[in-house]
Amino acid sequence: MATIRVQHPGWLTMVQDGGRISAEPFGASRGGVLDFALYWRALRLVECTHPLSAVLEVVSGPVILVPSDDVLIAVTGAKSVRCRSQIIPSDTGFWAPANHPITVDGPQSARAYVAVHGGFDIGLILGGRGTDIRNHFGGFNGRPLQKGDVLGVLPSTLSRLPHTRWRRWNPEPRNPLRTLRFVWDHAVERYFKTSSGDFTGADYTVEPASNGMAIRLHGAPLGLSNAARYLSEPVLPGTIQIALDGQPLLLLAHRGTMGGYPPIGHVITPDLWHAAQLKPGDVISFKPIALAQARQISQQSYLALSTAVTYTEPVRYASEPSNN
Amino acid sequence: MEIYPVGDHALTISLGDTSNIALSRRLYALQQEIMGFPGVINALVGYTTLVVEWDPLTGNPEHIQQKILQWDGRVDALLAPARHWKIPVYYGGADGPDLEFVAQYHGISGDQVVALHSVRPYPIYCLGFALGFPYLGDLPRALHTPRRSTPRTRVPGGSVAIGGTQTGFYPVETPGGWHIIGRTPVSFVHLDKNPPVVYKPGDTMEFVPIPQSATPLGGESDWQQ
Repeated sequence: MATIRVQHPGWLTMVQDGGRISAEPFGASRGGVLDFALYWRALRLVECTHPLSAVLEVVSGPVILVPSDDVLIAVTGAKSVRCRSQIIPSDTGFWAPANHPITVDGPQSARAYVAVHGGFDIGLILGGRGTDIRNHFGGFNGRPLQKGDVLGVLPSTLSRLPHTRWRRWNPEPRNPLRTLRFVWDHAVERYFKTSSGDFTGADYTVEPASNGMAIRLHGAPLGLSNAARYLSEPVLPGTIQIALDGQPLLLLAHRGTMGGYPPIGHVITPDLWHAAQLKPGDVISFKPIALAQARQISQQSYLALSTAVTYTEPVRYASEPSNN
Repeated sequence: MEIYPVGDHALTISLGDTSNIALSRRLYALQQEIMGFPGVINALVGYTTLVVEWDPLTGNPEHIQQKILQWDGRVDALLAPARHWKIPVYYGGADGPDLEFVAQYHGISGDQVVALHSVRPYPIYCLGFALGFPYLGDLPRALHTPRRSTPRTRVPGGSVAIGGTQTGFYPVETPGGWHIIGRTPVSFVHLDKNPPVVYKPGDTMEFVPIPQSATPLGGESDWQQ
C-alpha cells in the first residue's frame, strides 16, 4: 500500500470526513470537515467522492507530506502547493512523484483540504472517519497529525488521470463573505426583547476563541428576556445562539448536540460552509431570508457541488522565484 | 404536537412544555419511527422536543411533515421495554475530586452527598453533549450546585458529576464544567459496537456506591435490571 508520511504537520492538521451523523442520536457530535464545499471539491479532483472519504483539514501551513509512491493528490483552499521546486495552483488534482515532499503553504483563508486518489486508509469509528479532538477518538489515533505519522493510501480501482495533465475545477470564485443569510428561529419573540433590526443591522467581529464547535462573535449585545427559563434543546450546525451576555455563537459541525442558549436563527447551509473560512477579526453581519428561498439555495448549492464541471489541462508549472 | 422549521433542512417537533419520563419515552418512540422515513438523516431527542434533519437533496419537507402528523402515537407496541440501569460508583477521593467542595457548598458531609445522590433513580431525558452523556432529571434540590467557574480541559471517562440542577456521568473523556463527585469503573459506551450506547431516553438510571476495594467488575450486563 502506498503511504504518505507527515514531515511537517503544521499547527493543526486533522483527518476529517463528511461527518458521523449516524452517531448523533447517541449523543456524539458529527464533527467532520467545516467547509464541506472545499472538501467535496478536493474529492472531485481526485475522483474519490464518497461522503465518508477521509481528507486532511489544514488550519495553518506549511504542511509537508511525502508520498511513498506516485499519488494523485488535490489540495483546495490553499495559498499554493509546491513540489520539486515548482508551484502548483491550489484547487488542482496532480500527480505527486514518489519520495518528493509536497508543501502546502497554508490556507487562503482559515482552512484548506488535502485529498488523495483511493482515499486515506482510516477506519470507520461510530460511522465516521473524522477526528473528534474533544473526545480523542476517530481519525488518526484520535488526535491531530504529528511529525513522522504515516498514513496509508487505499489502492484505486478507477481509471487514472494521466501524469502529464492536471485536473481543474471550473472556476467558481468565492468572494470573501461579509453577510451570512439565515432563517429566523420560530421562538425568536419569546426570548429576545430587542427589535429584529438590532440583530440584522449590526456588525459582528469574529473572536479569537472560535473553534470547530462555534464561531464566537462580538458586537452590540442583544437584550434577552426569559433566557433563564430556556430549557436545553437539540441544536444543529448553523444555529445562531445568543449567550447570556447577549453575544452570538454560530454553531459549527463539532458542536455538542444539546444547546443551552436560546437560538435566534439558523444560517443557511452553503453560507455555513463559507463561514468556516472566517478568521478572528473578520467582520460580518446577518441577513434574514424566507424559508422557501433558503431551501432552494441550499438544494442548488448541493447540486452545484455534484454537477460542477472538472476538466483536465496539460501540466504547466510556474517555477518558484529564484530569489526564494 | 407542534412543528416548526429549523433552518433550511430540519424541523423541530414539540410534544409538551415540561419534561417527564413518559414524554421522554414518547419522544424516543417518535425518533425511532422518524429515522425510518425516506430522506431523514438524523433525529435528536431533547427534553420536550425532537429535532429532525433530512438530506437537502433527497428529503421532501412536506412529505416528512405529513408523515409525522400521521404518527399513531403508539409507544410501547414497537419498542423494547424501558430499562433500569445501575451505575456502580467510587465516590470521592481521587475519583471524585469535587465531592468535598459540593459537601462544603451545602454545609453537609461527603457521606451525606453520596447518600442524597444515590438515594433514588433518575429518569434519562435525553442524550447529548458527548457520546452517551445522559441528561438526567430530578437531582435532589439539596445537591443543586453552580458549575465550576473554570471548566476542566480533561474529565476522565466514567466521571460522575453535578452541574447546576443536573447530574450525569461522562462516558468518554471530554472537557467539562461540572463538579466531579465519583467515577464508575464500568464502561457503558462502546465505540466499536452498534448501538454504541445501550440506554435510551425514557430509561432510568441509579448510582450505586461501591467501596474502593471492590473487586474488578464485569461488563455492563451485570449492572442492568
